[in-house]
Amino acid sequence: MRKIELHTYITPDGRTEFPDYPGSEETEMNPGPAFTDKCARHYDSIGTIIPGRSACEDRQSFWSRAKHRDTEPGFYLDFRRYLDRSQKKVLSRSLMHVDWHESRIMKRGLSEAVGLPKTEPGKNIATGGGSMLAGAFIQRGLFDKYFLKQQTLKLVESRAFKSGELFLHYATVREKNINEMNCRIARGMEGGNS
Amino acid sequence: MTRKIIVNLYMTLDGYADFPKYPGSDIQTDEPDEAFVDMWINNYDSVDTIIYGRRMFEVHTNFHSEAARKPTDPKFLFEFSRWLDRNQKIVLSHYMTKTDRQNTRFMKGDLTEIVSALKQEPGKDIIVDGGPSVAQEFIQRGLADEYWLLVFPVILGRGKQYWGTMLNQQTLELLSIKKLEYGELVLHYRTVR
Repeated sequence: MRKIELHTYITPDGRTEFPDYPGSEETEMNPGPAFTDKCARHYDSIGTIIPGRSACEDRQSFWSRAKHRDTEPGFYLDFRRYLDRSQKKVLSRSLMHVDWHESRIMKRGLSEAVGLPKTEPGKNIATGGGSMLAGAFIQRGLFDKYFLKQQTLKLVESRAFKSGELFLHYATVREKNINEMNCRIARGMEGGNS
Repeated sequence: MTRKIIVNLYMTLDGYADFPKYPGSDIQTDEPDEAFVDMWINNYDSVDTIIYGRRMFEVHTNFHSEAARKPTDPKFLFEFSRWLDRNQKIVLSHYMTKTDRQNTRFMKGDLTEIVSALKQEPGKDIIVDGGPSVAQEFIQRGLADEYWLLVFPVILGRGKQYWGTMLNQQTLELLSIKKLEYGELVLHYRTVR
């Protein structure tokens, strides 16, 4: 079953930032466990990414294959390849054109993007994006009645890294007796091509 | 050693101060869970003062004073009540001045001044079990030396937030992390100054 995954970087108070702290500046030639858990081990299972406009521009300017330098750590190139080959569904009302192959602009926004897994076969879909996009996804997942309740999670995995970062992997626990609207969205979120 | 200020936070993954229901949240046992051990029992010898907001003080008095205990309550809760009763309780309140509860003091005014006054008094470490607005005040003013967070596996979407806006970031050192049986996390941080 195709899944939508939220991959996000946050501070404990829930802000999407990359702050400075002891250990945050270290660049290593090999991927640390944080990078491995967060990115590298998902290369095979993710086929589509949904960035917002600014995340797309940031990533392209830093990570597209064309920016490769010979002096950089080897695992950078793997990440570049992964981003390049992934289908990029860019959420933007203002962008006219993205000069990055496998890119498509979704002008109708989140509803168009969330409709994707039902209609198209493929691997899992990841969204990172900034706090606006992540927040919109979370709210859509909880849509309507669901949002007035709460979203219950299952902690699948947790790990702490050397410099004090935490890696948390949660799965959404879905309730059975939710209304029809929510069922439809839940199935849409989880794919199901039958 | 100056007295440490330890702030206890009970929150959902999205930072709301609440005790939500989730699979496992209702299960009562005769033994304390690891969060209770970490946040309270392990501090019985090193802490002698608890800071409350007015509402949390009333909740704690109604539920956790020894007089309020039911005979069916597990033994560790009786011990908890006796420990709370004999500790000094500081209640931050603008208007409340009296209580029947023993060892209780009311304080009002500027929180930074209250904390620095308390730190100059002789005594052991201090736990802040204040409720969301009091906790937020401690966070924003950078008054906490340590944080214990119990994070429930729930995105709640609304309620009272612990986290507020600050001008400068606070850098933390992760001292420990525990994953509990039903997916709760117990996080222990120290403030890096």
